Amino acid sequence: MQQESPKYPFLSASKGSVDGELKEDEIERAAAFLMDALAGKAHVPSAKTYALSRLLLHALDDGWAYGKFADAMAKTIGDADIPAVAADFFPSCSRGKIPLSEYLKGGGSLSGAALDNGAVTLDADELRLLVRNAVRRKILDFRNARRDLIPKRVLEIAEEMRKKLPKPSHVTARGKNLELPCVQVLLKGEPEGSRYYGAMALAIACVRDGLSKEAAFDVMDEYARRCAHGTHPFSARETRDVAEWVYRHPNVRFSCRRMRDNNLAPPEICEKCRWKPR
Amino acid sequence: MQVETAMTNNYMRERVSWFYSRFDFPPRDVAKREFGFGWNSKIDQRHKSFPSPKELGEFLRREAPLYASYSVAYYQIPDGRPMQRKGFLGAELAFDIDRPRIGTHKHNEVICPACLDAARQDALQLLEEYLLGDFGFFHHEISANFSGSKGYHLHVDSEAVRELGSDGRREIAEYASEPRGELLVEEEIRGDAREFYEEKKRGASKLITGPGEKARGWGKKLYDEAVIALKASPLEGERKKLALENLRRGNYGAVKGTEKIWERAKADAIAKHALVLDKQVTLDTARLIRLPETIHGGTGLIAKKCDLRSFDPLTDALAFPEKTMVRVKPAKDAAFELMGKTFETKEGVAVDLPEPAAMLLMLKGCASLA
Repeated sequence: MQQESPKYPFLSASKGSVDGELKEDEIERAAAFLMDALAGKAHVPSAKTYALSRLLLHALDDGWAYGKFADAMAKTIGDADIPAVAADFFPSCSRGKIPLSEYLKGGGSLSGAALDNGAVTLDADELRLLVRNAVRRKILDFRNARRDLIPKRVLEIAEEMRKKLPKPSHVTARGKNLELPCVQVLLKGEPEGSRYYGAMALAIACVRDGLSKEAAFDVMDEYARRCAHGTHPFSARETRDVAEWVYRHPNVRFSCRRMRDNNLAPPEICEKCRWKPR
Repeated sequence: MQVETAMTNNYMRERVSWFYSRFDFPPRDVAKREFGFGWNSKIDQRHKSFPSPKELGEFLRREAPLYASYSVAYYQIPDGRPMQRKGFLGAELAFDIDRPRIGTHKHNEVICPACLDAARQDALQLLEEYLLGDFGFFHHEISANFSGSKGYHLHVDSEAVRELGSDGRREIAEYASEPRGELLVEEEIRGDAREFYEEKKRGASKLITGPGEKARGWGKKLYDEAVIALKASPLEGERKKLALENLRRGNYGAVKGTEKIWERAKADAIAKHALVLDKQVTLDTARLIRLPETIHGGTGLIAKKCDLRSFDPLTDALAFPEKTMVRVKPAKDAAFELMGKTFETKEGVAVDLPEPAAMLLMLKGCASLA
């Protein structure tokens, strides 16, 4: 039944259900839906509106918008539908037991998890949280999307929408580490391969500058949003996890050498630095 | 001095090349791996690739790198740059244990048998308790090798883990490293909580709940320790029986004065089960890690694939013949064990040593060729 008429457009049965040429009114409808979702007023859209909303979202390429849209869509799942959605995302799920690899790919956490012999056992509340998180992750997964194939009209409408989005927040936190030239470059975002080390350096700068953990989370969120969405999406959660670790180990020092080793501080940046490279 | 250094370096390079003349242990899917090599540091050159094991072997013999690493990931274009061009196809799950849990001991700076054995035991625990136990991987999916220096690497290569992202890998590494979240929760007894009638009658306003006998994961580890700690506690008779009965259903607050027992159980569970892993190795899918069966340029020992139950790197990971004697001039006093023998050298006093011991000292910068 799910395959004939999937209730939610993010279910696998919806895949391929959108075809035909794009009509102006469809794109505008999707844009309106996306703006509603970004304002927290989401409802379950048609498969086409959903697909076009994601296309617009990808054209926008805005970290805040990605997160907000995914949250709004995940909230549309009714409690009664959780088992059906769970079966779609975790096909091996049986009686609340999910194989470890499926559980982790769906964004599950092992903190406090009832893990035994390669399977995690969940109660109803845990399953609901997991399913919503998995939906969120799927919506944020753009690994197969190519920006160069986005139709011109979609890009134009996305640009119009961008003017209505909240202005990107800027990192206002200051400190002698956060103001280092290499850290300032980091704050503009890093490409895949350097994102994790960048997050680590940034979190160390925050802790050394005496920022509270909450203030550091703001810095890390901003960093995550500016980092490229590569083969693996780089989530705010990942950067927050890094900050959590650094705040648990506050004696970790900022290292110029590590910055250089990880290609985070090219020589021309170090030359501008008031610290002598160590 | 410069002449001595050049001679020593030439000798070491020649011997490393000799070692690689017999190299025949390429990793799985060579053509899909990125390789990195080091002569002065662990990785001086990366983004290298080889179409087949033959070309890899030829490179090792010709260039005689002191360090050889390969990607845990499989790529479409392993030598592509930047990283996005490589085309990620999946990655092994790798673990690195090089900071063993060991108490005070007489540490040897040259090579420490106590640290090596503690690292082996930690690696074995990782294998048995976590990889085969909690995570449920199959034995044939796992391989272990000595790192060539201070610890051990474990690799899991299965379809189930290849596509795991960094988030999932971090979850796995953190799970084996620490119990996150609260194991015991203290909460107010709600008015309608009939099952805690006894506690309320006793005047207890708070409830301490935690894992019971059906718990899994870290909950099970704590529960088992709690049972051990309770049985060993001075609590007697009915009080002990009552505490044990309640423990089974996760009620840790049934008997007054047991808080210290649970604190002890929690500390014991962490000491016994929380491993010290280099988590970055596990979560970083772009990581290069020591290529098994190659030489570690800091020791001259082989990063040998091994059975963790019986492996002794000081006898099983030798890269050079024991019978070949090499005259070296030590730069400082040293005493160490290798090949089941003890060696002692004095600063400036030239000495003939079996080649594995001579290479160890020279690679550590503690001696030069005499």
